[in-house]
Amino acid sequence: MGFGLTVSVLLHAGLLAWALLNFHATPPLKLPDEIPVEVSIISQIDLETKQKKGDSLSKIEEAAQSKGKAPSPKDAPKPMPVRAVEPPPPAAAEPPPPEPEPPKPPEPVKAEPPPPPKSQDLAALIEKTAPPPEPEGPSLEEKKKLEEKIAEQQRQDEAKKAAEEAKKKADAEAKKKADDLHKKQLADAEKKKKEDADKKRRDDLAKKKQFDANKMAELLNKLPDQPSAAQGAEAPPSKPTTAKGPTAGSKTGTDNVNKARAEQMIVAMLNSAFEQCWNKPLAGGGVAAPVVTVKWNLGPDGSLQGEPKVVQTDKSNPLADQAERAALRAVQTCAPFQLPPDMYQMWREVTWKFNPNQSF
Amino acid sequence: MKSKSMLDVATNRRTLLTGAGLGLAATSFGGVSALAQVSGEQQKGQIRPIPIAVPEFLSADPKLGADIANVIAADLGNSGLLQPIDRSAFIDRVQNINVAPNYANWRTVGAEALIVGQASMGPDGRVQVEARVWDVITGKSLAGNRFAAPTQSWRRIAHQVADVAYEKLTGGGRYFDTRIVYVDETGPKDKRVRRLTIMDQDGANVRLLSQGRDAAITPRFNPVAQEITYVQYQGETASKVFVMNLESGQREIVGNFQGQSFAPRFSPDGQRLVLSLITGGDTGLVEVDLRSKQVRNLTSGGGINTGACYSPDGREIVFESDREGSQQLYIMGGQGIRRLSTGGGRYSTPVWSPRGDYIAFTKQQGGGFLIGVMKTDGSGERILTEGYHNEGPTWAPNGRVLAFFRESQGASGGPKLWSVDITGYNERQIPTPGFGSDPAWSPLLT
Repeated sequence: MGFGLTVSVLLHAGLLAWALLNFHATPPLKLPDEIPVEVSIISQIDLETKQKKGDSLSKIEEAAQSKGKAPSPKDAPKPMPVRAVEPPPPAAAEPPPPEPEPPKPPEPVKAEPPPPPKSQDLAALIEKTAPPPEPEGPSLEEKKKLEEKIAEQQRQDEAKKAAEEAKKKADAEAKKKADDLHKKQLADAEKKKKEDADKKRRDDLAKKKQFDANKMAELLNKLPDQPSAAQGAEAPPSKPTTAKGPTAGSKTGTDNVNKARAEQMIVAMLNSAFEQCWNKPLAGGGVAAPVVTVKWNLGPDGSLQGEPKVVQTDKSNPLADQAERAALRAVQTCAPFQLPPDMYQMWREVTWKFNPNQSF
Repeated sequence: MKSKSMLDVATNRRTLLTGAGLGLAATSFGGVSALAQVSGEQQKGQIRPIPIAVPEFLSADPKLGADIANVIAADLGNSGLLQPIDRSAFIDRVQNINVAPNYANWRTVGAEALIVGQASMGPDGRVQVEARVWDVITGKSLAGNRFAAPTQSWRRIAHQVADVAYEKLTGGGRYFDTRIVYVDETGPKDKRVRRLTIMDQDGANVRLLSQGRDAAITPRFNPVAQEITYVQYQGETASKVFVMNLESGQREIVGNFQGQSFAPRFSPDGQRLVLSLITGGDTGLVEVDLRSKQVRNLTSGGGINTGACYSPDGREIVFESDREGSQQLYIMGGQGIRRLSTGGGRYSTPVWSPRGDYIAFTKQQGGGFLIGVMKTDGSGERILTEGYHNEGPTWAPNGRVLAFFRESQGASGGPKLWSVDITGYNERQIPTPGFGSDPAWSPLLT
């Protein structure tokens, strides 16, 4: 019994020792210091940024960091007031209060934002509505790069191994250090990933709670703001950006995609609004009401400027009058339109085709 | 997350595009074509009744003013396309119908249209009513009319005001100033007394047209006169076709046929009748000229041919026949006879819409009787009703609403009159004092 136990202990110890040695015998993961340090810093700052929610400085760093990483600046939405009329423009010139806000769980963006959001609120809002960095994309890329570099380093190491036997010990130490760093970095990445996933889940939940039918807030928060959020975050809050929103890139001619998205968004918002306001003409039974095209102008607050005018109808259709009135009623009832004020130039004049597409 | 939202938008758009055929679908497309201009197309919208305000009409006799407004509101509400707003919600009072109303006040209570009027007694002792229809959203006057009638006919004036408003607001044809003739049924199920009865389309002013000694069935209106044709049994088996003038009450038998005649219907000009005649073991269709009394056979050969109905232009006749085995619908016209119905089940009582676009029918399928419509080429068949026993469709003069009767089961069950839109929505019971079957909707009274 005692002998057996001893043999067993010895065998297990031997096996463990062999396994330990075997693991150590694998090609050393010697990494250049810069790589793990760089990754480590990013995840660390990211972590801090999350903790210092509301701190404008951390916002800048986060934006700078996200700029350097895979997610494009488009991914950072800026807060967009859902109601175009009520909130006055944010007082961007006002310096942000220096004290950092205590971390708090992300809240859904209110459909009607509180009166004049200050820079601090804006920053907080950015933090709240900012989608978390892609949980897998960047870290996977980093890993890939890392692995490539590791492989390269290993090849170099092997070449060096033959020539520099004396430095073996130092290398082993470096390798151990690198290994530790790598582990730490992996752990950080894992932690970050988990946090990001949590944040995304919370954000999603908040957004679901916040809005229902037409997801207009979702559109507002996502589509138009991508350039402005990144730019706004890059610039110090005390200095308002000279160009905002989708017009920002028009000077350089580089944000056609954003412009197209903004257009889509405006059309989608109007579609959603008219879905509620337009009561389709319906006399029923075979006679299809005609398509009516209406044109009208809007003020910056979304209110009607002058009377909407019918610009095209098939007057020969017996339901022409009813269809025209239904379309005009829709425009009158829907006004004031809730559209993004910073894109006013895009929706100052609206031409809308009301197609009853009647097939009861 | 961002890309997901974009995907959602795109998916939504695709879905809506594919669903556009449902009528409730939407597409969102368009764009900012030029600086400061956005354009797009709307396909998705609401299909809901237009909210209207019908305040009591101004009158020295407040009851009359209220009664007229109530009849108008009830008519428009029954149409299913308009929704009268509860008067207790009003925040404005009409003082003068010839002054433009305060649109904002009526918009506030949710109204999109406003019907105002005043009623007075004229020097000739007749009721005079002035009425105006306003679109309070666009701030436009849609109609302004003046009506006069004997005092007892104030309901007809109300129906006419409702017709004007309905026509202006929905684009649909008038049908409120009409009447319905039907068969009033009383007594136990195995010993029913069936009498012809006439009433306003809303169930008011009911009066009997026949005494019920002999059962009278299948009344049908003359499309151009206040005249009906119907079948009266003489004894247990013999049936004869009659024509009755509703104003004078005068009636006369049509033709001097040896066999039984039944299922009569007027031609669109009211000059001819098509009816079924049993000769030998077969049932054929004949056309009778009401002036010359000349009779013309429309069908030849054996089998059962019945339930004939003219097209609105009088050039074709739809009828039911078992010539190919089961009971199906056929159309005869300049190009001979063609089969109309193609679905399963048995089809009967075809009725051509006054608008000419649809043919209503009774379909027997799966042990039940259903009311449906199909286009005149046999396509687009739709069943409008549900339930065990629905029968005898008749069109309102606007070709948008159908009346029929529905038989309830059980020992105490019996037929009741119902109406339904051609869309299959807005099914409503038409009030009758007792059981009622075989409705026939009149043309417009004016």
